[in-house]
Amino acid sequence: MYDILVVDDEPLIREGLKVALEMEGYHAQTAADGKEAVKIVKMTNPNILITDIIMPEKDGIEVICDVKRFNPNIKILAISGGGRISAQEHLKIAKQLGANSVLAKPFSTEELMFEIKRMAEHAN
Amino acid sequence: MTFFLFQSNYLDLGIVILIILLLSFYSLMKYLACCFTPATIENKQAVKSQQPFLFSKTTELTIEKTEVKDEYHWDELFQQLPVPVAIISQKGQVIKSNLAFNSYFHLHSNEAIKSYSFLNDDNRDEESNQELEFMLKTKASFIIQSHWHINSSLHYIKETYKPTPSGNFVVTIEDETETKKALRSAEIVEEKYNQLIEQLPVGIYRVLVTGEIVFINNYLVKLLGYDSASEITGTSSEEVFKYPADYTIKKNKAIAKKKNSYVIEFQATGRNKQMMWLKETATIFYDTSDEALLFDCIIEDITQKKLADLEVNRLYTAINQLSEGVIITDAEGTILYTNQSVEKMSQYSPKELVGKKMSIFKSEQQSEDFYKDLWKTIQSGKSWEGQIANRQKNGGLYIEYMLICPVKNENNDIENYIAIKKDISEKLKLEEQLRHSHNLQAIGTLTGGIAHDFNNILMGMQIYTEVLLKKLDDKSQEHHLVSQIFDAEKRAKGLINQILTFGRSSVEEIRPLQPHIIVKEATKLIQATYGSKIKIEQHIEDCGYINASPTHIFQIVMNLCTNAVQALNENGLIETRLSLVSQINHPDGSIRHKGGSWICLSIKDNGSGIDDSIKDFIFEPFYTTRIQGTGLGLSNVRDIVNNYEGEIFFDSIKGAGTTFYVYLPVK
Repeated sequence: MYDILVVDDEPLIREGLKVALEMEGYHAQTAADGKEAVKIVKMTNPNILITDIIMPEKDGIEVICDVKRFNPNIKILAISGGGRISAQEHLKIAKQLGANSVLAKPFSTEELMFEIKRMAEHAN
Repeated sequence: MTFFLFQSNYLDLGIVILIILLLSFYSLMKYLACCFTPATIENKQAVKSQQPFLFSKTTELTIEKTEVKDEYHWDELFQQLPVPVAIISQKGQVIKSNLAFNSYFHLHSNEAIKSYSFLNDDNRDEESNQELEFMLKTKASFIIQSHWHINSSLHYIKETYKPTPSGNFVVTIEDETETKKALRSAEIVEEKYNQLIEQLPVGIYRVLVTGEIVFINNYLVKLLGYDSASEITGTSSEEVFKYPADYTIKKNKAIAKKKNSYVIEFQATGRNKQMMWLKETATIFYDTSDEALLFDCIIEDITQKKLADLEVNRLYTAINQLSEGVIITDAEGTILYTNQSVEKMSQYSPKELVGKKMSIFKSEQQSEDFYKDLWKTIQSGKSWEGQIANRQKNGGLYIEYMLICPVKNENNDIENYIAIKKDISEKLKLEEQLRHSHNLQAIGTLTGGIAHDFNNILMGMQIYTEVLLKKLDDKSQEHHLVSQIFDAEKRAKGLINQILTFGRSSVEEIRPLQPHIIVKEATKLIQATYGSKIKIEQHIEDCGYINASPTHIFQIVMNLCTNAVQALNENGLIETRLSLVSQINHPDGSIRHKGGSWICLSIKDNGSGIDDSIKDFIFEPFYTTRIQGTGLGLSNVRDIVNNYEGEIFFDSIKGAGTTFYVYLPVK
């Protein structure tokens, strides 16, 4: 059973993703910002981190850098809805910093599960 | 006593008759001369009233001289002589006088005659009296030019004295008062004429064919910078005027053609090196063998006029070269002048416009009230300015900014109107493009700003919808309703992607690519997407490489093909063509760009066509006729094409289909 942490400042998304993941049989927990996410990762050491990029307090890029330092094996899926620059640009940066997979919002649950399964296989 | 006198003076009388005969001959000659000179009618009549008598009497006298021998007849003849004649003694005493003499000197009785002394007459001037006294002593022929006061008027008299063998003198009197007066007036006329010539504000000179100046008036002397005529007369006109080459050519031409006159304008240099423009009007005189002899020339200083002409010419050239159109009309709006720019704007040549009314440019874009207001304003003496759509010669429209000013004469009446026009069609087009570009920028900024939030909202909605769909029975009504929500979300996702593409369309990477490969791929994708619903015919040529972004080319083909598919009915057919061309042909038949190298992509469908009423809006962002359309497809395509400095046109017939043509430059 994979443990997944979903980090997004948008409650609709983090809760929605949690429901969708649990429907597929994963164990999911959520964090509302980057700081909380790092704290949870340190405490519970999840297998997979799904993180948004643009967030208040601590953004996704910082979260990736931090968690990779103390948990290099964690699999990270970066998700972004874009902003001043495109979602693709954000995700490109995230990938360069160590994200294993990326998805531009809005994505379907199918795409999400595909990426989760791919990362899980690689983890094994 | 009388008889004796006559006897003793018989010889004297014979001499008198001879003198009279000579005088008569002289008078006859004078009469003939009078008849052949252009005298006034009164003069002629006066002459005729005297001379025929003289003539006939003289003829009679000649005959009678041979026939009449007796003294009585001689005396009769003497008395009737029309010329005052007398025989006087050396002391001036009148011995015998004829009727004319007595009448002339008012001697009405024999006593008066006897007591009259011709010498020392108080009526004769003193000097002549003294001269006569002296001359009578010489016994020689002599003439005295005296003047007399007779009846308080001055008379000039020629007294001719001939001595007789008996020591007396025959004196004949000729009154020269009229002749003297005539001579005097002739002298006055000549003097005035000379003064006139000297004082005329034009130059006058006479030059011989050899070039020697024989006369020059004061005005011309001063004009040329000399002090007196003597410095110029006798010198060569070539030296004085320093004629330019074309002067000599024109003058020689006039002489060769045996013309009587010529007019030449030339630039001369004065003595002090001052340049001046002169107009020479000359009369050419030829000798009997038709060789030019001399020239009488009138010189006008036209320097000021020439300078003014040059000024006018400069202004004319400036107005003609102005980029603004200039039209001058009369008060009724009839065109008197147009400059070159008007031709560029309206395609009418100045020749076609002069004489026509301003209404030749009239288009139906403005109401009759508009034109009425315009005329009312300018007829009231005010200027009018504003934007107006006018009609070209070929029927096309152009927008101009026009200023019309009335020009008034000294009575404050409007004499002309001056219209200054600037073609602002291009400016308006650029403004429209700029406005559009600002819109795009605004859309880009806006979408960038909201994309994140929008995507997040969509994300949440999509996840919950998908969760719901998984939980609901596929066949339940709830599942169907939630599916509708899911479709709406997908459309929203499509819209945000389009907007993002739109906002970022100009920052794609440009690189050399082969357009035919991308067009083929895009066409394949369209075919795969819409399957057997449509048929696509391809006529794609290898056009080599162009510099472009593959995304852009892909978007052009995808958007145009998607549009085409939307318009298709059953048996829908789309034709895609790609070829290399050397000019841009507009569907209306005109050629937009000649030369250069372009790729031409055309996408043709046999669908419903575009309604005339919406043809002007199809490229507007967010303009769409489809419920599910974003209104950004064609707008996006046009912006991409414009960024590449290409052209996009379409040709559509309602019910028969539409063809889009895209030209991109091969750089």
